[in-house]
Amino acid sequence: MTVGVMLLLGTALVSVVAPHTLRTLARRAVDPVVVLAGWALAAVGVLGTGAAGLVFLVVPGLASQTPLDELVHGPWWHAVSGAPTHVAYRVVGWLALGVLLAGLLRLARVTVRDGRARRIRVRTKLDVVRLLGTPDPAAGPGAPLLWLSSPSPVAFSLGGRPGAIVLTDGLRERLPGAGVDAVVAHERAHVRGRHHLLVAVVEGLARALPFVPLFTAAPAAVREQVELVADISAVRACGPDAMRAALLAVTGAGAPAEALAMARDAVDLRLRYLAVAAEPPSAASRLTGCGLLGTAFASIPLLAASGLLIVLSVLTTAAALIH
Amino acid sequence: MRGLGELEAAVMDVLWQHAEPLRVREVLAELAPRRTLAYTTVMTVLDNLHRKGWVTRELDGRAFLYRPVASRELVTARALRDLLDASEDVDAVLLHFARSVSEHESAVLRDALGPEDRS
Repeated sequence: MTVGVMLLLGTALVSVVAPHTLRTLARRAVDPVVVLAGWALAAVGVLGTGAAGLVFLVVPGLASQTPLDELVHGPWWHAVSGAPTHVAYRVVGWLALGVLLAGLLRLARVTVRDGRARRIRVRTKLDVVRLLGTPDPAAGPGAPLLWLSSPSPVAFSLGGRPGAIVLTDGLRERLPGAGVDAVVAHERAHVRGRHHLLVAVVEGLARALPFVPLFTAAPAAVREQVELVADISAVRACGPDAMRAALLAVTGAGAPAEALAMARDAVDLRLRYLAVAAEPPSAASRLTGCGLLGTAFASIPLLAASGLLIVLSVLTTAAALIH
Repeated sequence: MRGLGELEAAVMDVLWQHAEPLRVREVLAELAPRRTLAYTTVMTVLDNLHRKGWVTRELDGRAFLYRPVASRELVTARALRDLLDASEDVDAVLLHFARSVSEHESAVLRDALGPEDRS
């Protein structure tokens, strides 16, 4: 019971602290792949420990067979485990069961419903662009490249396997070959990295469990980071000049004056950010970064739970001694 | 499924290239040099396109005459607007190369550059 409560407290702590930590990392121009891994690990950690905490509330006996039990010294632990069983505890147990089941049910329902709606939307959009677009015969393997006949310079990608990359004639007119290559490399990075699915998953979590701060903060942050991942991939493939030309062509033209100014500003910022962040990170530093973040987020709920348990046990022992 | 989509695109291509409405037989003849198709296949594809609202048809004698609902450019412009205007709830299905950047994103980028880089 106590272990369950502490795990839940630890989970709440991480779900509030993790978004701040991850946003700070993003501001320091940390490799976006590491930041994305951090969001994913934090989400898995919060879901896992939250569920575990609720299970411990439902079945308090479980806690006595876990390593958490051994983290707490014997005599202190007895003070906690020997706490009297009140009716209140049983009520909390039933409540926890209700919350756990309701949460799981909601998660399943939203996942299924959103997943189905998403598949339908992808299919209709693919239908539309396939009918309107002319496939590029020179495109390599992977997602097909489709050209739309429109004067406005637009580029986007649709997720899935194989997915699709859609560009307009207007883009080709405004951009030299290398710029178009940079746009294609950027969009290919989205499709290859399954960024659409990643964004869809975090948006699903935010819709299913909107009371968890970590989940409501995730969609916007993940969107930003996947754009940076794709940018870095494009810069590596085609160089920063091609990327600059591409960004200016897509955001600069056809927009109203004030939107244009803002877009120019944003492009400039995005490019300068790239200059800071695009140092190709080595696989080793990437792994270390992911590992460190993962360990931190996985262990914080447990550590918080253990710490709180120890404090509580000391207090209980002290109270027992005074009496 | 993917093959059918390709076929629909090829049929629309033929219709868009012709100013006058076409019969199933004429569409089939236009496609014939590149691929061998059954008459019923083309008929089914045109029927599907009609059901999806891509073509209109009118009865001429015993056969239907098919024409696109609008020019390729007009339909493309409309479709692009539909695809990109979903910016209210940014569509996870679609990732743009560069959509209009939010204030928050600008702030994140500005912070990322640090004070000495700020202009």
